[in-house]
Amino acid sequence: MASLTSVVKAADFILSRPTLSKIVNPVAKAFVAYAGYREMGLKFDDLISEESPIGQKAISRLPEGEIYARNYRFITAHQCALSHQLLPANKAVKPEEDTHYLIPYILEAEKEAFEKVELDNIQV
Amino acid sequence: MLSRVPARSLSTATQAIKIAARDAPGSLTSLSVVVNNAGSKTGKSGVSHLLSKFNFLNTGSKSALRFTRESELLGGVFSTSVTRDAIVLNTQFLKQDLPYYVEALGSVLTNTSFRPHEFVEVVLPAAKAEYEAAHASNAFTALEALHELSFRKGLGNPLYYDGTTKVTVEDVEQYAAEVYKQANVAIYASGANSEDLNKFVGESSFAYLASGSTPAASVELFKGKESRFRAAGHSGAFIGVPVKAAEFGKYETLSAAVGSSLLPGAASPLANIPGASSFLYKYQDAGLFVVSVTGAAADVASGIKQAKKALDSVSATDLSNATKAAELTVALQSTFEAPLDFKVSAADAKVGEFNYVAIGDVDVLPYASDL
Repeated sequence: MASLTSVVKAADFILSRPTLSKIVNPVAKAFVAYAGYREMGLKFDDLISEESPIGQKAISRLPEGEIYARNYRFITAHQCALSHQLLPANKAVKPEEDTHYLIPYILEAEKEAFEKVELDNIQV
Repeated sequence: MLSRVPARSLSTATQAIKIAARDAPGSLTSLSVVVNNAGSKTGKSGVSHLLSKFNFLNTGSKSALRFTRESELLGGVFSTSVTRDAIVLNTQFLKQDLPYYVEALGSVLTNTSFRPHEFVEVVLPAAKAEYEAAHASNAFTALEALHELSFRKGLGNPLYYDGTTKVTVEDVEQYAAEVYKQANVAIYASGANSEDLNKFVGESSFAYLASGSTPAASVELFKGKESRFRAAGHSGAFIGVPVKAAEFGKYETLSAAVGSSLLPGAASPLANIPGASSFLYKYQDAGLFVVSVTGAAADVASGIKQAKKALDSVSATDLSNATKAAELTVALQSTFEAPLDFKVSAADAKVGEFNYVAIGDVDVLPYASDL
Protein backbone atom coordinates (compact mmCIF):
# COMPACT_ATOMS: atom_id res chain seq x y z
CA MET A 1 0.00 0.00 0.00
CA ALA A 2 1.18 3.42 -0.78
CA SER A 3 2.14 5.27 2.34
CA LEU A 4 -0.31 7.80 3.66
CA THR A 5 2.41 10.43 3.33
CA SER A 6 2.31 10.05 -0.48
CA VAL A 7 -1.51 10.11 -0.46
CA VAL A 8 -1.51 13.36 1.52
CA LYS A 9 1.13 14.76 -0.81
CA ALA A 10 -1.03 13.94 -3.84
CA ALA A 11 -4.09 15.47 -2.16
CA ASP A 12 -2.17 18.66 -1.40
CA PHE A 13 -1.04 18.80 -5.01
CA ILE A 14 -4.62 18.46 -6.27
CA LEU A 15 -5.87 21.13 -3.86
CA SER A 16 -3.12 23.52 -4.93
CA ARG A 17 -4.36 23.40 -8.56
CA PRO A 18 -7.80 25.13 -8.85
CA THR A 19 -8.78 23.36 -12.08
CA LEU A 20 -7.77 19.95 -10.82
CA SER A 21 -9.54 20.41 -7.49
CA LYS A 22 -12.68 21.59 -9.33
CA ILE A 23 -12.81 18.20 -11.06
CA VAL A 24 -11.70 15.96 -8.16
CA ASN A 25 -13.72 17.59 -5.36
CA PRO A 26 -17.20 16.66 -6.65
CA VAL A 27 -15.94 13.13 -7.36
CA ALA A 28 -14.65 12.86 -3.78
CA LYS A 29 -17.94 14.19 -2.36
CA ALA A 30 -19.91 11.67 -4.44
CA PHE A 31 -17.58 8.87 -3.26
CA VAL A 32 -18.16 9.77 0.37
CA ALA A 33 -21.95 9.95 -0.15
CA TYR A 34 -22.06 6.50 -1.81
CA ALA A 35 -19.58 4.96 0.63
CA GLY A 36 -22.16 5.63 3.34
CA TYR A 37 -19.82 5.31 6.29
CA ARG A 38 -21.20 8.47 7.88
CA GLU A 39 -24.67 6.87 8.01
CA MET A 40 -23.05 4.07 10.03
CA GLY A 41 -21.69 6.65 12.47
CA LEU A 42 -18.05 6.46 11.32
CA LYS A 43 -15.48 9.03 10.34
CA PHE A 44 -13.19 8.59 7.34
CA ASP A 45 -10.13 8.03 9.59
CA ASP A 46 -11.90 5.05 11.17
CA LEU A 47 -11.68 3.24 7.82
CA ILE A 48 -7.89 3.53 7.49
CA SER A 49 -6.25 0.14 7.91
CA GLU A 50 -4.79 -0.18 11.37
CA GLU A 51 -3.22 -3.63 10.87
CA SER A 52 0.34 -2.36 10.54
CA PRO A 53 3.02 -1.32 12.99
CA ILE A 54 2.58 2.30 11.93
CA GLY A 55 -1.19 2.15 12.35
CA GLN A 56 -0.81 0.58 15.78
CA LYS A 57 1.73 3.20 16.83
CA ALA A 58 -0.52 6.04 15.64
CA ILE A 59 -3.53 4.65 17.52
CA SER A 60 -1.50 4.16 20.70
CA ARG A 61 -0.58 7.85 20.59
CA LEU A 62 -4.15 9.14 20.32
CA PRO A 63 -5.43 11.16 23.27
CA GLU A 64 -7.67 9.17 25.63
CA GLY A 65 -10.85 10.99 24.59
CA GLU A 66 -10.23 10.26 20.91
CA ILE A 67 -9.69 6.55 21.61
CA TYR A 68 -12.95 6.41 23.55
CA ALA A 69 -14.89 8.22 20.81
CA ARG A 70 -13.34 5.95 18.16
CA ASN A 71 -14.36 2.78 19.98
CA TYR A 72 -17.84 4.18 20.54
CA ARG A 73 -18.21 4.83 16.80
CA PHE A 74 -17.09 1.25 16.09
CA ILE A 75 -19.73 -0.13 18.46
CA THR A 76 -22.37 2.06 16.81
CA ALA A 77 -21.32 0.82 13.37
CA HIS A 78 -21.41 -2.81 14.52
CA GLN A 79 -24.88 -2.33 15.94
CA CYS A 80 -26.05 -0.77 12.65
CA ALA A 81 -24.54 -3.67 10.70
CA LEU A 82 -26.15 -6.31 12.94
CA SER A 83 -29.59 -4.71 12.88
CA HIS A 84 -29.39 -3.94 9.13
CA GLN A 85 -30.29 -0.32 9.73
CA LEU A 86 -28.69 3.04 9.06
CA LEU A 87 -28.62 5.86 11.57
CA PRO A 88 -31.36 8.49 11.20
CA ALA A 89 -30.14 11.62 9.39
CA ASN A 90 -29.82 13.64 12.59
CA LYS A 91 -27.61 10.94 14.21
CA ALA A 92 -25.35 10.41 11.18
CA VAL A 93 -21.90 12.00 11.26
CA LYS A 94 -22.10 15.45 9.71
CA PRO A 95 -19.52 16.49 7.11
CA GLU A 96 -18.01 19.08 9.50
CA GLU A 97 -17.63 16.38 12.19
CA ASP A 98 -15.76 14.10 9.79
CA THR A 99 -12.35 15.42 10.87
CA HIS A 100 -8.96 13.82 10.37
CA TYR A 101 -8.16 12.97 13.96
CA LEU A 102 -5.83 10.07 13.13
CA ILE A 103 -4.00 11.13 9.96
CA PRO A 104 -1.58 13.58 11.68
CA TYR A 105 -0.46 10.77 14.01
CA ILE A 106 0.01 8.37 11.09
CA LEU A 107 2.02 10.98 9.21
CA GLU A 108 4.28 11.52 12.22
CA ALA A 109 4.79 7.78 12.71
CA GLU A 110 5.53 7.35 9.01
CA LYS A 111 7.99 10.22 9.09
CA GLU A 112 9.83 8.53 11.96
CA ALA A 113 9.86 5.18 10.17
CA PHE A 114 11.14 6.70 6.93
CA GLU A 115 13.82 8.61 8.80
CA LYS A 116 14.91 5.43 10.55
CA VAL A 117 15.21 3.56 7.25
CA GLU A 118 17.15 6.46 5.78
CA LEU A 119 19.56 6.63 8.72
CA ASP A 120 19.97 2.85 8.86
CA ASN A 121 21.13 2.85 5.24
CA ILE A 122 23.18 6.03 5.33
CA GLN A 123 26.47 6.05 3.42
CA VAL A 124 29.23 8.24 4.82
CA MET B 1 25.06 45.70 6.57
CA LEU B 2 21.83 43.80 6.98
CA SER B 3 23.72 40.69 8.03
CA ARG B 4 25.54 42.56 10.77
CA VAL B 5 22.48 43.63 12.74
CA PRO B 6 21.24 40.17 13.79
CA ALA B 7 24.79 39.07 14.61
CA ARG B 8 25.17 41.93 17.06
CA SER B 9 21.79 41.38 18.68
CA LEU B 10 22.63 37.69 19.10
CA SER B 11 25.89 38.38 20.90
CA THR B 12 24.22 40.75 23.37
CA ALA B 13 21.43 38.25 23.91
CA THR B 14 23.83 35.68 25.33
CA GLN B 15 25.73 37.97 27.70
CA ALA B 16 23.92 36.75 30.79
CA ILE B 17 25.04 33.18 30.12
CA LYS B 18 28.13 32.26 32.10
CA ILE B 19 30.76 30.82 29.78
CA ALA B 20 34.02 29.28 30.94
CA ALA B 21 36.52 27.66 28.61
CA ARG B 22 39.98 26.27 29.03
CA ASP B 23 42.44 24.67 26.66
CA ALA B 24 43.39 21.08 27.13
CA PRO B 25 45.93 18.87 25.37
CA GLY B 26 44.74 16.13 23.04
CA SER B 27 41.86 16.17 20.59
CA LEU B 28 38.97 15.87 23.06
CA THR B 29 36.52 18.59 24.03
CA SER B 30 34.18 18.21 27.01
CA LEU B 31 31.29 20.61 26.82
CA SER B 32 28.83 20.81 29.71
CA VAL B 33 25.78 22.93 30.24
CA VAL B 34 24.70 23.36 33.84
CA VAL B 35 21.24 24.81 34.41
CA ASN B 36 21.30 26.08 37.99
CA ASN B 37 18.17 26.32 40.15
CA ALA B 38 16.66 23.63 37.92
CA GLY B 39 17.40 20.57 40.03
CA SER B 40 15.01 18.55 42.11
CA LYS B 41 14.89 21.25 44.82
CA THR B 42 12.79 23.52 42.58
CA GLY B 43 9.35 22.94 41.16
CA LYS B 44 6.89 20.12 41.69
CA SER B 45 8.65 17.03 42.98
CA GLY B 46 9.98 14.87 40.18
CA VAL B 47 9.34 17.35 37.39
CA SER B 48 13.01 18.28 37.00
CA HIS B 49 13.96 14.62 36.67
CA LEU B 50 11.38 14.25 33.90
CA LEU B 51 12.65 17.41 32.22
CA SER B 52 16.20 16.04 32.30
CA LYS B 53 14.93 12.92 30.53
CA PHE B 54 13.43 15.15 27.82
CA ASN B 55 16.87 16.55 26.99
CA PHE B 56 18.26 15.39 23.64
CA LEU B 57 14.83 14.21 22.46
CA ASN B 58 13.02 15.66 19.44
CA THR B 59 13.60 19.32 18.83
CA GLY B 60 11.97 21.57 16.28
CA SER B 61 14.97 21.24 13.98
CA LYS B 62 16.06 17.65 14.47
CA SER B 63 14.63 14.36 15.67
CA ALA B 64 16.17 12.51 18.61
CA LEU B 65 17.12 9.60 16.36
CA ARG B 66 18.86 11.85 13.84
CA PHE B 67 20.85 13.59 16.57
CA THR B 68 21.89 10.25 18.06
CA ARG B 69 23.00 8.83 14.73
CA GLU B 70 24.80 12.02 13.68
CA SER B 71 26.53 12.03 17.03
CA GLU B 72 27.66 8.44 16.50
CA LEU B 73 29.02 9.30 13.06
CA LEU B 74 30.87 12.39 14.32
CA GLY B 75 32.26 10.44 17.26
CA GLY B 76 30.61 12.12 20.22
CA VAL B 77 28.81 11.04 23.35
CA PHE B 78 26.15 12.90 25.30
CA SER B 79 24.32 12.40 28.56
CA THR B 80 22.07 14.29 30.90
CA SER B 81 21.45 14.04 34.61
CA VAL B 82 19.65 15.76 37.42
CA THR B 83 21.13 16.77 40.76
CA ARG B 84 19.44 18.49 43.69
CA ASP B 85 20.76 21.83 42.46
CA ALA B 86 20.85 21.63 38.70
CA ILE B 87 20.16 19.85 35.45
CA VAL B 88 23.44 18.94 33.80
CA LEU B 89 24.00 18.18 30.11
CA ASN B 90 27.34 16.62 29.23
CA THR B 91 28.88 16.11 25.80
CA GLN B 92 32.29 14.85 24.78
CA PHE B 93 33.52 14.99 21.20
CA LEU B 94 36.47 15.70 18.91
CA LYS B 95 37.70 19.29 18.91
CA GLN B 96 36.57 20.18 15.37
CA ASP B 97 32.90 19.41 16.15
CA LEU B 98 32.46 22.24 18.68
CA PRO B 99 29.95 24.29 16.61
CA TYR B 100 27.76 21.24 16.02
CA TYR B 101 27.46 20.43 19.73
CA VAL B 102 27.03 24.04 20.80
CA GLU B 103 24.08 24.25 18.41
CA ALA B 104 22.73 20.88 19.60
CA LEU B 105 22.87 21.90 23.27
CA GLY B 106 21.36 25.28 22.45
CA SER B 107 18.40 23.72 20.68
CA VAL B 108 17.85 21.32 23.59
CA LEU B 109 17.36 24.32 25.88
CA THR B 110 15.34 26.48 23.51
CA ASN B 111 13.63 24.28 20.97
CA THR B 112 12.66 20.90 22.50
CA SER B 113 9.29 19.79 21.07
CA PHE B 114 7.85 18.08 24.21
CA ARG B 115 5.73 15.67 22.15
CA PRO B 116 3.14 13.92 24.32
CA HIS B 117 3.96 10.48 22.88
CA GLU B 118 7.65 10.87 23.78
CA PHE B 119 6.60 11.51 27.36
CA VAL B 120 4.75 8.19 27.51
CA GLU B 121 7.07 6.13 25.31
CA VAL B 122 10.52 7.39 26.33
CA VAL B 123 10.57 9.81 29.25
CA LEU B 124 8.41 8.01 31.81
CA PRO B 125 9.94 4.53 31.31
CA ALA B 126 13.47 5.98 31.44
CA ALA B 127 12.66 7.95 34.59
CA LYS B 128 11.04 4.92 36.21
CA ALA B 129 14.02 2.71 35.37
CA GLU B 130 16.44 5.25 36.86
CA TYR B 131 14.31 5.58 39.97
CA GLU B 132 14.16 1.81 40.45
CA ALA B 133 17.86 1.31 39.77
CA ALA B 134 18.72 3.95 42.36
CA HIS B 135 16.29 2.62 44.95
CA ALA B 136 17.60 -0.93 44.52
CA SER B 137 20.26 0.32 46.92
CA ASN B 138 19.08 0.72 50.51
CA ALA B 139 21.76 3.34 51.05
CA PHE B 140 20.20 5.57 48.39
CA THR B 141 16.73 5.20 49.90
CA ALA B 142 18.13 6.09 53.32
CA LEU B 143 19.94 9.15 51.97
CA GLU B 144 16.74 10.35 50.30
CA ALA B 145 14.93 9.94 53.62
CA LEU B 146 17.73 11.77 55.43
CA HIS B 147 17.43 14.69 53.02
CA GLU B 148 13.67 14.75 53.52
CA LEU B 149 14.07 14.79 57.32
CA SER B 150 16.74 17.49 57.19
CA PHE B 151 15.23 19.90 54.67
CA ARG B 152 11.56 18.84 54.22
CA LYS B 153 10.89 20.90 51.07
CA GLY B 154 13.42 22.04 48.49
CA LEU B 155 16.57 20.00 49.00
CA GLY B 156 14.37 17.43 50.72
CA ASN B 157 12.38 16.74 47.56
CA PRO B 158 12.98 13.30 46.05
CA LEU B 159 15.78 13.39 43.49
CA TYR B 160 13.93 11.18 41.02
CA TYR B 161 10.33 11.05 39.87
CA ASP B 162 8.58 8.42 41.99
CA GLY B 163 5.13 8.49 40.35
CA THR B 164 3.34 9.70 43.50
CA THR B 165 2.09 12.94 42.00
CA LYS B 166 0.76 13.03 38.49
CA VAL B 167 2.95 15.11 36.21
CA THR B 168 1.75 15.91 32.70
CA VAL B 169 3.82 16.82 29.70
CA GLU B 170 2.40 20.35 29.97
CA ASP B 171 3.82 20.60 33.52
CA VAL B 172 7.25 19.63 32.20
CA GLU B 173 7.02 22.09 29.33
CA GLN B 174 6.01 24.90 31.65
CA TYR B 175 8.81 24.04 34.07
CA ALA B 176 11.29 24.11 31.18
CA ALA B 177 10.10 27.60 30.28
CA GLU B 178 10.58 28.65 33.92
CA VAL B 179 14.11 27.32 34.43
CA TYR B 180 15.79 27.38 31.01
CA LYS B 181 16.73 31.03 31.34
CA GLN B 182 19.92 32.90 30.57
CA ALA B 183 21.06 33.72 34.08
CA ASN B 184 20.55 30.09 35.16
CA VAL B 185 22.67 28.63 32.39
CA ALA B 186 26.41 28.10 32.65
CA ILE B 187 28.51 26.61 29.85
CA TYR B 188 31.81 24.90 30.63
CA ALA B 189 34.15 23.76 27.88
CA SER B 190 37.37 21.96 28.50
CA GLY B 191 39.58 21.67 25.43
CA ALA B 192 38.06 24.58 23.53
CA ASN B 193 39.18 28.04 22.53
CA SER B 194 37.39 30.67 24.60
CA GLU B 195 36.87 33.12 21.72
CA ASP B 196 35.56 30.42 19.41
CA LEU B 197 33.18 29.19 22.06
CA ASN B 198 31.84 32.69 22.72
CA LYS B 199 31.32 33.21 19.01
CA PHE B 200 29.57 29.87 18.49
CA VAL B 201 27.33 30.38 21.52
CA GLY B 202 26.37 33.84 20.26
CA GLU B 203 25.44 32.43 16.85
CA SER B 204 23.64 29.33 18.15
CA SER B 205 20.15 28.74 19.52
CA PHE B 206 21.42 29.84 22.95
CA ALA B 207 20.60 33.34 21.70
CA TYR B 208 16.90 32.49 21.91
CA LEU B 209 17.06 31.67 25.64
CA ALA B 210 14.66 33.80 27.64
CA SER B 211 16.35 36.35 29.88
CA GLY B 212 16.06 36.33 33.65
CA SER B 213 16.67 33.73 36.30
CA THR B 214 14.75 31.52 38.70
CA PRO B 215 14.91 32.42 42.40
CA ALA B 216 16.69 29.85 44.55
CA ALA B 217 14.39 27.79 46.74
CA SER B 218 14.39 28.80 50.41
CA VAL B 219 16.15 26.44 52.79
CA GLU B 220 15.14 25.47 56.30
CA LEU B 221 17.15 23.06 58.43
CA PHE B 222 15.49 20.54 60.71
CA LYS B 223 17.23 18.44 63.36
CA GLY B 224 16.40 15.69 65.84
CA LYS B 225 14.19 13.63 63.52
CA GLU B 226 14.30 9.88 63.07
CA SER B 227 13.04 7.44 60.46
CA ARG B 228 13.15 3.66 60.18
CA PHE B 229 12.55 1.53 57.08
CA ARG B 230 12.00 -2.20 57.03
CA ALA B 231 13.76 -3.49 53.90
CA ALA B 232 15.45 -6.61 52.60
CA GLY B 233 19.12 -6.53 51.69
CA HIS B 234 21.99 -4.66 53.29
CA SER B 235 21.25 -2.80 56.47
CA GLY B 236 22.43 0.71 57.10
CA ALA B 237 22.36 3.38 59.77
CA PHE B 238 22.83 7.01 58.81
CA ILE B 239 23.48 10.05 60.98
CA GLY B 240 22.83 13.31 59.17
CA VAL B 241 23.56 16.86 60.27
CA PRO B 242 22.15 19.63 58.07
CA VAL B 243 24.78 22.31 57.60
CA LYS B 244 24.62 25.92 56.41
CA ALA B 245 26.72 26.80 53.36
CA ALA B 246 28.99 28.96 55.53
CA GLU B 247 29.88 25.95 57.70
CA PHE B 248 31.17 23.71 54.88
CA GLY B 249 34.79 24.35 55.90
CA LYS B 250 34.23 23.21 59.50
CA TYR B 251 32.39 20.04 58.62
CA GLU B 252 34.79 19.10 55.82
CA THR B 253 37.52 19.11 58.48
CA LEU B 254 35.35 17.05 60.84
CA SER B 255 34.72 14.58 58.03
CA ALA B 256 38.45 14.25 57.35
CA ALA B 257 39.15 13.88 61.08
CA VAL B 258 36.72 11.01 61.63
CA GLY B 259 37.41 9.39 58.27
CA SER B 260 36.13 10.62 54.93
CA SER B 261 34.91 8.22 52.24
CA LEU B 262 37.20 10.15 49.90
CA LEU B 263 40.33 9.11 51.83
CA PRO B 264 39.64 5.41 52.38
CA GLY B 265 43.25 4.44 53.17
CA ALA B 266 43.89 7.03 55.87
CA ALA B 267 44.09 5.97 59.51
CA SER B 268 41.00 7.35 61.22
CA PRO B 269 38.45 6.31 63.85
CA LEU B 270 35.85 5.30 61.22
CA ALA B 271 38.44 3.23 59.31
CA ASN B 272 38.42 0.77 62.25
CA ILE B 273 34.64 0.21 61.99
CA PRO B 274 33.60 -2.09 59.12
CA GLY B 275 31.41 -0.34 56.55
CA ALA B 276 31.66 3.10 58.18
CA SER B 277 32.43 6.36 56.40
CA SER B 278 31.50 10.00 56.40
CA PHE B 279 30.77 12.50 53.65
CA LEU B 280 29.68 16.11 53.40
CA TYR B 281 27.05 16.56 50.68
CA LYS B 282 27.44 20.13 49.48
CA TYR B 283 24.66 21.99 47.68
CA GLN B 284 24.27 25.58 46.59
CA ASP B 285 22.51 26.83 49.72
CA ALA B 286 23.08 24.14 52.35
CA GLY B 287 24.77 20.83 52.97
CA LEU B 288 24.30 17.55 54.74
CA PHE B 289 27.06 15.93 56.77
CA VAL B 290 26.44 12.18 56.79
CA VAL B 291 28.08 9.46 58.87
CA SER B 292 27.01 6.05 57.65
CA VAL B 293 27.55 2.43 58.58
CA THR B 294 26.36 -0.22 56.13
CA GLY B 295 26.60 -4.00 56.04
CA ALA B 296 25.08 -6.88 58.01
CA ALA B 297 22.48 -5.74 60.56
CA ALA B 298 24.39 -6.92 63.67
CA ASP B 299 27.63 -5.21 62.52
CA VAL B 300 25.73 -2.02 61.71
CA ALA B 301 24.02 -2.02 65.11
CA SER B 302 27.33 -2.04 66.97
CA GLY B 303 29.16 0.00 64.30
CA ILE B 304 26.84 3.01 64.40
CA LYS B 305 27.21 3.24 68.19
CA GLN B 306 31.00 3.20 67.88
CA ALA B 307 30.83 5.74 65.05
CA LYS B 308 28.72 8.11 67.14
CA LYS B 309 31.19 7.74 70.00
CA ALA B 310 34.11 8.46 67.63
CA LEU B 311 32.25 11.50 66.31
CA ASP B 312 31.68 12.89 69.82
CA SER B 313 35.26 12.30 70.94
CA VAL B 314 36.94 14.28 68.14
CA SER B 315 39.23 16.75 69.91
CA ALA B 316 40.51 20.16 68.81
CA THR B 317 43.95 18.66 68.06
CA ASP B 318 42.36 15.99 65.86
CA LEU B 319 40.63 18.74 63.92
CA SER B 320 43.73 20.86 63.45
CA ASN B 321 45.71 17.77 62.44
CA ALA B 322 43.08 16.99 59.80
CA THR B 323 43.00 20.39 58.08
CA LYS B 324 45.46 19.38 55.34
CA ALA B 325 43.57 16.14 54.72
CA ALA B 326 40.38 18.21 54.50
CA GLU B 327 42.04 20.52 51.96
CA LEU B 328 42.92 17.43 49.95
CA THR B 329 39.32 16.14 50.00
CA VAL B 330 38.10 19.55 48.81
CA ALA B 331 40.68 19.51 46.01
CA LEU B 332 39.63 15.98 45.07
CA GLN B 333 35.98 17.00 44.78
CA SER B 334 36.55 20.31 43.01
CA THR B 335 36.02 20.04 39.26
CA PHE B 336 36.13 22.48 36.38
CA GLU B 337 32.33 22.40 36.10
CA ALA B 338 31.72 22.61 39.86
CA PRO B 339 34.61 24.41 41.53
CA LEU B 340 34.58 24.47 45.34
CA ASP B 341 35.86 27.69 46.78
CA PHE B 342 35.42 27.55 50.56
CA LYS B 343 38.24 27.55 53.09
CA VAL B 344 38.55 24.60 55.44
CA SER B 345 38.82 25.57 59.09
CA ALA B 346 39.64 23.69 62.26
CA ALA B 347 36.86 25.44 64.18
CA ASP B 348 34.87 23.20 66.49
CA ALA B 349 32.16 21.47 64.46
CA LYS B 350 29.47 20.23 66.82
CA VAL B 351 27.29 17.26 65.89
CA GLY B 352 24.79 17.95 68.67
CA GLU B 353 21.26 17.20 67.56
CA PHE B 354 21.18 15.03 64.47
CA ASN B 355 18.79 13.26 62.12
CA TYR B 356 18.87 9.51 62.00
CA VAL B 357 17.74 6.94 59.46
CA ALA B 358 17.89 3.18 59.97
CA ILE B 359 17.16 0.91 57.02
CA GLY B 360 17.16 -2.86 56.63
CA ASP B 361 16.60 -5.24 59.52
CA VAL B 362 15.19 -2.65 61.93
CA ASP B 363 14.54 -5.32 64.58
CA VAL B 364 18.27 -5.23 65.28
CA LEU B 365 19.22 -1.65 64.47
CA PRO B 366 19.34 0.84 67.36
CA TYR B 367 17.15 3.91 67.81
CA ALA B 368 18.55 7.43 67.73
CA SER B 369 18.14 7.69 71.51
CA ASP B 370 20.31 4.55 71.98
CA LEU B 371 23.35 6.16 70.36
